[in-house]
Amino acid sequence: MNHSNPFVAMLFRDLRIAFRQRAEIMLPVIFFVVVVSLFPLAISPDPAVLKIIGPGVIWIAALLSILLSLQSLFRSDFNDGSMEQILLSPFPGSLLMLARIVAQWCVTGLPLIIISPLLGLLLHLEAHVILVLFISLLLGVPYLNMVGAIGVALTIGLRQAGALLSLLVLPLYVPVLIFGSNAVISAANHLPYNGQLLWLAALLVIATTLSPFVISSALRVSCSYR
Amino acid sequence: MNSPTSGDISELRADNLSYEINDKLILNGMSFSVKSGQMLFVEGSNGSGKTTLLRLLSGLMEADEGQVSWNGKRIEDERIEYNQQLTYLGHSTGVKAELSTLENINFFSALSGLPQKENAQTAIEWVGLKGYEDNPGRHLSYGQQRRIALTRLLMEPSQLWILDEPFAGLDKKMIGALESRFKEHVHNGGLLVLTSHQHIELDQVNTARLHLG
Repeated sequence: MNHSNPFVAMLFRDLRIAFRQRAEIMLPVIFFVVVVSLFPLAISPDPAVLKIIGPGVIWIAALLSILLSLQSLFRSDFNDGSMEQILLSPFPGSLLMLARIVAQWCVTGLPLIIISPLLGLLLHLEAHVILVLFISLLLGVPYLNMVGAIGVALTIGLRQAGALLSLLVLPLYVPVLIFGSNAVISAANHLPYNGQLLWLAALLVIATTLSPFVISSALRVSCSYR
Repeated sequence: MNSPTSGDISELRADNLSYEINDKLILNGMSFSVKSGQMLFVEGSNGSGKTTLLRLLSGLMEADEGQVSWNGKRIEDERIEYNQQLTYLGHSTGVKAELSTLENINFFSALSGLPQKENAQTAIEWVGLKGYEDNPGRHLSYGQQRRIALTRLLMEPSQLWILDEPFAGLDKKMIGALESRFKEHVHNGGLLVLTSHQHIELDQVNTARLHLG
């Protein structure tokens, strides 16, 4: 296939690479499922307990699993010289980066969101609560991908960036964690949850519009100090 | 092969470039210019700043002092225009291990954002990778991966080539093919900036030499 549009070409390239490294792309989803399913074993299989901790557990697991998937983002492009070629493309770097994040979301965030209702059932959440959980993840997880990518772009030039990356990104993840799990808890308690979801949507809009620019500038800086 | 935007005389100019790495001045107030139909051969021992200079010229790095301009405009200000005219080949090839030869080439073409001068198949034959179209990059040797990157010299319609050690890892035959491609490019009004440890002499090519270190 020859995609003349660089955005589409970038997206398909990343998806193709991801699907050729199946073991690696499955890791975040497996991590997510394993962490969530360990809670009933470790704490209590009592539905009453699980209903209370469920929303928080799923949200924390989703957050950590995205954080885990960030480690490999941009790494190989940075090492094999593709990043230089991407930065030297006449096509706007921000759009190419948006394509990369969409691809990254497709292989890490999306599977996690799709599987979340199943984990909701496992933790005895009610149907309408699962629906809110699903929507909150749908709005919140892409934000985690985008903000995480900013952190990666800033730290990719450093040799041991793991700890610094978490330190940079986690404070920015906290608002989404609070709004996300709180929306689900409110739904479980039959309280209004629209406000929290709207906050998540607002954060998502901000991240989508601004993060591609930040990421491409940050990568430019990271690439210039090699 | 037709000329890159024939007729225009373009100029790449470096003014007073200085660059420091770890308190060591690698480049100190360097000025030069390359025009259409010229080749600039950058010489120097390891660590003399050849790669740094080429990265500054390509716009991947910014100089501590001084500026690089393309046709009189600072390259930072005209990045899109400049990048359209630029083919940069660094130490790392940019070839993805997971993608096949053809997929890698198609991605380079898409990234250049312009209609290509040659189709991928012609370029693959030129670099001698016929029969390897579907082999993933990880199964190819270093020289073959470099050849994938070199297809860009045949396909991209750019005027300015900045090549860091283009002969590394190549056999004699490919080096010969590359040299005649260089000649053709310069004669068609292209600009060529390259580094090499190999001594190359292109006859009938207007060559400027820059010695670093």
